[in-house]
Amino acid sequence: MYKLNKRGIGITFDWIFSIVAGVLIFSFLIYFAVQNTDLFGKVTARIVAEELDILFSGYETTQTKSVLDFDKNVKLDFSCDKINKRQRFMINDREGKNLWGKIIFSPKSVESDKINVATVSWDVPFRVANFIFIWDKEYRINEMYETDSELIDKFKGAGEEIEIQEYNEGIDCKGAKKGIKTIYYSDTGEGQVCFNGSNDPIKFFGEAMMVGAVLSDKDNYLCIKDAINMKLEIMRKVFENKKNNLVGSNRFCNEDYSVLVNRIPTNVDDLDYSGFKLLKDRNTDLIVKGCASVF
Amino acid sequence: MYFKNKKGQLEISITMMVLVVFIVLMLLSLILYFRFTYTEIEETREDILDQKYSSLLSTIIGLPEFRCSKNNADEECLDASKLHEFDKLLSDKHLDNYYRNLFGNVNGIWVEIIDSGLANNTKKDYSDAPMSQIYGEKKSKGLIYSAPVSVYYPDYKRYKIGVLKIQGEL
Repeated sequence: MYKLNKRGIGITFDWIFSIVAGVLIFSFLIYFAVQNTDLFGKVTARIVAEELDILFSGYETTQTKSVLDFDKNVKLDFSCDKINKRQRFMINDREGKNLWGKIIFSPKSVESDKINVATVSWDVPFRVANFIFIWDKEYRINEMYETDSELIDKFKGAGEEIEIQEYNEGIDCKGAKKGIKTIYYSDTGEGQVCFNGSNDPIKFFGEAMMVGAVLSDKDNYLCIKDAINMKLEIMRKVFENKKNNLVGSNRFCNEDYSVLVNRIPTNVDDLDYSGFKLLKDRNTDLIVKGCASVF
Repeated sequence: MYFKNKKGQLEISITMMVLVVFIVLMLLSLILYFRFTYTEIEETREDILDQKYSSLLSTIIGLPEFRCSKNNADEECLDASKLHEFDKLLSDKHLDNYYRNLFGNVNGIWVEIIDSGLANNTKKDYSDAPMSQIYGEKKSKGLIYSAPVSVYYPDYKRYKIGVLKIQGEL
């Protein structure tokens, strides 16, 4: 049989060889494909988005200044959803991630291989949140008025024209230079920002919000301010719950707790230096009386 | 006709067979490729979730909603009077939505107090509670991530040892 069908055996061997060689070639192909491709870069962008989200979560509770070195150019686009009061970022126009519970101030688009990150605690006088600031290495502002802010010093240089002036009560946007973002800020923490071409001043409180006004545009700032108000409201509820749980170290405490908690504002617009100082003093008074402090 | 074109027919059959085998191999390769990719994505997802739950532990410890402070200075502990019945605050739809998104897909978050001081099951106030539920509830399925914490009772100026636990599914 074999001798008679030599040619047939030859064809069979050709087939076996083709199949084995085909399987080997395809296996190598798959191996290298798996190693070197990631579904058009979407997977990498997704992983980076998740890892950045984890990183930002860590920044929520620590005060830090650092540089994220990506080794290659990365574009981060930040936006804010006014209805849900939450921010979102996109990486290289590919993948995005919602940022729940984080307050991030940055220019609309940050593009660089090295991205600066800093956090500043926002205290009114109790800590409400750590604000995260993001900017690229090229970001600079021309600033007129000297502030004590270390972060503002980092931005100084030839760049976007922003005017920072001293804040006095009753100032409106009429005195602001046309087409230039003008920030009014006082050492007491009170301030307001007039965005380019807008006549409505937006009130803020504290250094952290002032730095936020430097980095953000009007839409983002207003949206983030809503998110801040929501967090302020949450903190009020947390302190109300705390007040209900505190049994009172002595009988004078309970009433004082109520007075203090009822004074906690739920809107940034209601914050001012006298209210800030009053809350701080009332809290210290509680300790002096031998009660537990509210914050 | 058939007898005349035997060789041509054989070559057509061989070409067809080669094509069929090629397509089968191609399909097998594609299936294999997507299986590899899927397994890799699943592994990455598990790694990221693992990182996320671990970092969530430290995030919770640092959140002003739970952290203790004395005269406006943060301390390295959780405030028992803030933790107690915190989950009741989440009956507010907005708050529930906020924390559901903040905590992600965890089943539950709670703080267990070691030596709660509970005697004869008579609960007096928050200082006697053996645990404080922060979010969700413990389910039968899911990995538990935990970290030891110091729990402060501001009324009593006392500290207890507690364990912050998160249950999450990978």
